[in-house]
Amino acid sequence: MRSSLKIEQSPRIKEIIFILTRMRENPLSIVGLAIVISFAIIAISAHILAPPVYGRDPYIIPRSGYYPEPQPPSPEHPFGTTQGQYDLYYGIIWGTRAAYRIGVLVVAASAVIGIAVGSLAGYYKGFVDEILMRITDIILAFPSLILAMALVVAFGPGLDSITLALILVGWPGYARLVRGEFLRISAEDFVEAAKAIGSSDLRVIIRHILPNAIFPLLVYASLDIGSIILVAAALSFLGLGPPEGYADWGQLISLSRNWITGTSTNPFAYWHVYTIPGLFLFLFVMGWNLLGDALRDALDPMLRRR
Amino acid sequence: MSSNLRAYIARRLLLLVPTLIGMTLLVFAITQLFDPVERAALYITDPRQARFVNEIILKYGLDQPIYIQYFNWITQVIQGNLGWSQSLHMKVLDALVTRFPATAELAIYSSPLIVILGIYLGKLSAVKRNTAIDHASRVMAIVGWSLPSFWLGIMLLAIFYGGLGVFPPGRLSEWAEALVRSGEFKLYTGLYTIDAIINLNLPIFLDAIYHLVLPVITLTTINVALIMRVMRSSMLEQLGKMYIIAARARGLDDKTVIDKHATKNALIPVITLSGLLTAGMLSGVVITETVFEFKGIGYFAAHAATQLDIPAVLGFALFAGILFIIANLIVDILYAYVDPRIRLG
Amino acid sequence: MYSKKLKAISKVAAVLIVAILIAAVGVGVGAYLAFSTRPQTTITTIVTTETKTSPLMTTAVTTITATSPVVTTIVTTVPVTSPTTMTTRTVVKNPDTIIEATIGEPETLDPAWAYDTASGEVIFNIYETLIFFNREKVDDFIPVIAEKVPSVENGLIKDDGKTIIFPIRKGIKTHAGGEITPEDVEYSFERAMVQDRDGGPVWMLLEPLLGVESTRDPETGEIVVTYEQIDKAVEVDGNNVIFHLAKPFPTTTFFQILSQTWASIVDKECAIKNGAWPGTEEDWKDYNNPETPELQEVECGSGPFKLERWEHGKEISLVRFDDYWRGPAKIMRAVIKKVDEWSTRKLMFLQGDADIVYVPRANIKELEGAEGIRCVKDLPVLALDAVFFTLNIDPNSPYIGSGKLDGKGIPPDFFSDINVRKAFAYAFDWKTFIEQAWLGEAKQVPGPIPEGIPFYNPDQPMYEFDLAKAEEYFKKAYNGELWEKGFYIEILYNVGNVPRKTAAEILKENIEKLNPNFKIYIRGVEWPTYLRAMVRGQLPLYIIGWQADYPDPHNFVHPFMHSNGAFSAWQGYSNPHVDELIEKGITETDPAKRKEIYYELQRIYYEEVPSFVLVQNLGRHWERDWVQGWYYNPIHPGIYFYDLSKGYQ
Repeated sequence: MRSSLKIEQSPRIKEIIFILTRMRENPLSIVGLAIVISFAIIAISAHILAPPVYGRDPYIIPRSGYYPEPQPPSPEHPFGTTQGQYDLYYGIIWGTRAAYRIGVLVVAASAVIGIAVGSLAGYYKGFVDEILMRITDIILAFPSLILAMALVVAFGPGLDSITLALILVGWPGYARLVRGEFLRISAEDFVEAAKAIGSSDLRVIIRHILPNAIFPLLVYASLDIGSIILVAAALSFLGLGPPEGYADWGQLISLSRNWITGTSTNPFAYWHVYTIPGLFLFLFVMGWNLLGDALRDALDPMLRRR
Repeated sequence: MSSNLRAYIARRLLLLVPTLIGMTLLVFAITQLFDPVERAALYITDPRQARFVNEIILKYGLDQPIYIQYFNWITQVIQGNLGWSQSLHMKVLDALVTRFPATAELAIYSSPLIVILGIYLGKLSAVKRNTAIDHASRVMAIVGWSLPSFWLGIMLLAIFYGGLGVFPPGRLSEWAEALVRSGEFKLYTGLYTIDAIINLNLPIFLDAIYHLVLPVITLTTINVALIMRVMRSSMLEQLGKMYIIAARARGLDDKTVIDKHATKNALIPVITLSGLLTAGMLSGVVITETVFEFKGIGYFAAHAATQLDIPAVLGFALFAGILFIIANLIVDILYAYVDPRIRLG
Repeated sequence: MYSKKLKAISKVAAVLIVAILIAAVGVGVGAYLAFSTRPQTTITTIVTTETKTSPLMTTAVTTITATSPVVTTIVTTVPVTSPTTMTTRTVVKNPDTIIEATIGEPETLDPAWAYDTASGEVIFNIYETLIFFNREKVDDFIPVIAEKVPSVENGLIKDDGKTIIFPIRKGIKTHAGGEITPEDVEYSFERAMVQDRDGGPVWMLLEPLLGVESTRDPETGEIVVTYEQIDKAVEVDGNNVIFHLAKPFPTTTFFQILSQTWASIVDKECAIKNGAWPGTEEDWKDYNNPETPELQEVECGSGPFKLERWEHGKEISLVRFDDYWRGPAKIMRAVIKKVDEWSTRKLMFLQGDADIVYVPRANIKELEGAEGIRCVKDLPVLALDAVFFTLNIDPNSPYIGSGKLDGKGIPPDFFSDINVRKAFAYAFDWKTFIEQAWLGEAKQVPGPIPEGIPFYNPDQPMYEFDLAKAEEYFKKAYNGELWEKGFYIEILYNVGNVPRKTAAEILKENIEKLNPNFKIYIRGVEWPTYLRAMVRGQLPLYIIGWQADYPDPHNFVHPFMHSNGAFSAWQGYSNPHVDELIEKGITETDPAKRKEIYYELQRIYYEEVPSFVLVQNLGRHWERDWVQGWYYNPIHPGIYFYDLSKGYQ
């Protein structure tokens, strides 16, 4: 047993090293990785970069007054204020955290559910497959934004509702993917071998098939995070997000919606309220997309045989 | 059409029914999360009417058990009555029919652009892999995909309409609207470009295109990456295949190799995705429709969803579901047609 | 072969499409420039705000001493012109059409169904009423469908105001090709009473005419009026239409009700042809409380405009009725567009593609210095926002914390203690609120009667921001126990309403300052959730507004103070003396006596503070400066297009 373990493990480590090398060759992946890591650092050190007010939910942005007109950047407010005098800098910093929280939560939960459903469907095939695929079909047939909207309205607007709604709308994608991989891998010899020596189904799924199916899943997940954040921002833009004053990029952009055309003398008078959150949102999504794209490039078996 | 294919199609169409039932049940399940008073809020838009809450609940049967509500609804649907949309103040069926052309017009012009551009860029990237061109087009596409659609739309409007006064929002200029309203310009399909051709009216045709420019650019920029990505990886997959290497070894020039074999096979997954993309667009692009005042199906569905307008959401669910299944079916048929292995297997 | 062609085709197609697009864009721009009237030159006058001093009210018909005229004063900004006095004007876009861009959408065209202002705006341009408001005035009337305004002097009002006779004008043509007859008038009112939909406006006709609030019993839904009652309430006698009121009702108030959209006169033949109630007793109950309006998409009016086309969710266009009895309107067409995005609306306004737009208060500054537009401000709106206390909260409410007086919640009867209510009232900072949330464009009134409505008492004392007093009252509450233990409470606001959210936050900030054990949590919820919480009595306090149905004090004191009132009923506020006063007020025809009653009610409102008024806000009107003829009447549901024209004098 020990020796076979070793034989199984080292190819996998070799695999990972191989992937990392491939990715290093690709400048895009470096950029993507850099962006993602920078944002992670910002998110982790939110307490230091933008100390919250004692005793309050740190995600509530401090405000200085109630005037509706956004104020330009100043020493007090490095990024200026939004409509209603919320400090934009604070909102952006904690918004990074909120973005990671939502992105990671939704992807992780969707993936877990998707893996469970997909592996069952792909492994057992037949009737189980039909039923599970019908269910995923029903959810996939709905344009995802509309279904997410209906769910968020049902749960009551807010980030938690958006998270839950996106999980419910997102898991079928993962399920489909995992199922496809399972169908493909199940046909391989080593799976037959494992079954032949009497391994239980669970063992076969977890130790043999899943590890090989994991890579396309990683690609999908990294590309998905970007989409999730965009959809969450769109939902906030449409008014279904957290309440005004909550540190969330989508919410900040929706606050900027009415100021995009500026004043009559200066069409870009309020550039900071939409450019800054928009930029952060865009960079974050782009970082993950670059990373995912490069990862996919590095993983695709056909592309490696150069 | 071979009988195999016919049977296949018939079987797939039959799947329509359980999927539709499933979708509508899903919507009903969601409505059960609401208190009848909350559902009555659709009809009570002003505090002055709030004291009639109980009467409203009684009148519309909002507190009846789910199976009764579902049954009532289904029986009506079978008779062709999709109910009344309170949020739009018209019959649901009428809403779907009148709203659809706006979305269709957006989809008809964006979709081919996205597909063709995506295929072209994807192929280019694949063939010139890891060169500057490859990186450049990949970055361009990813940038487009990463842009928030509402942000892009509003920025374009601010620059062109706000700054330069060109490409206004809406589908037609006021003078064209006046013509349409007066009945001089007859509407056959609801798509202004096509109707303009039928009416032999050049100015309106141009005006319609004029208003389509910005929304189509927005949609294209955002979605090109999707197709490009798939085309690229599919192309690369083909180029890496044994038969290509063999052909090259045999001395066939690159051009023939690429054009003749690789592209044709690479297009298969792209077709699938394009079909689904188009179907998705036909189900409505909410943000673009909202920002550019192209009030189509997406806008209608979003509006209904936020107002808890259940009959409207159900009607939309049916519409989207049918569209989805038919799109899948068409794609699968094309797939079978193009790939003989599936057809004969 | 096949793929080579495919590639070739796709390449050619791509190039072709790009080329066509470029060409189309180029030609399109050219065509657009050629075919439309784009502003060629710029105007030199900047935002001009006009001074309008017109009293909204005249003295009433009988012996009341002069009521204060409501002056709509506006700050004039001196137009900055360039030294050359030649003011070049912009070419008027769409010269015979007025385009209004706003956020609402009409619900229906049926006058008996419509209660929202968006529908009202369309209906009052298409239909006409017996009498109508005299331009800016809310208590002076001109005869429209009626030939004369009835009064005691001309003998058309009898029996202490219980019988009112309207002689009907001849020669009024309808859009359907007929002429208005007394039968049309009778039919219009009877149809409205027969229909009486839930949540509709017909209760305003039922109250004076039948003495009931609804044709149905609220518990069972059974119809509790007879056809005879409806029939007898409005009758035709020769060329007159006679109204028989169920009990004495102030005449001016009745006329205010008759001047609005639910009293529109409908062309009977046209309505019946379109499937409305046939006008007979047979099966009349089947037409009661329908699920959808009878005259939803069609109109049977006689007004200065006809319905041209209604594209739901997008726009509704009205076209001039050339046979209008007062002479055709000056403009050919009025289009009301639904444009939700402020940015889009603003761009349309600045480009001249919209003549009148709705500007959210927060964005007023963006239009400062803009050319070619005109703004009229400080328009008193007949609406009030107030903070209402629920005296007996549902014990299962999720917003009262522990539900006990232990510092972690509040007991359900928290606001039954008048000391608590007064403390909250003294803790509100009106000055900051008005300055920052309303940009100064609102005023505090004692309530519940807004300024501009008869019998508003300008000298009535009202609450002011006084933290010392607030503290005093908090200490009195529960014999000092409250001050010791503190409390926790959740305040909800309806998402999308920023001033109400701000009001909640101001309350929170000031109250929490007084005592570290006072904790308030503010939560925003969607309208359905808010409605549910409100109706179920779960909200400890709620901030909500009331807009006038008709400009009479009864329309405000009832919902605010009567035990069956729209708001006071949920609060659980009930004072039999108040009920008595209110009921007397609406059956008293002598204005002097009414004044006494309503002054008394305002005093009681101050003393018992079941709720306290936040503000009465002041509105603005924005239009392109080529629009002429607009005037302000606070009770109009929207723009009255008949008086408008486009161009420069």
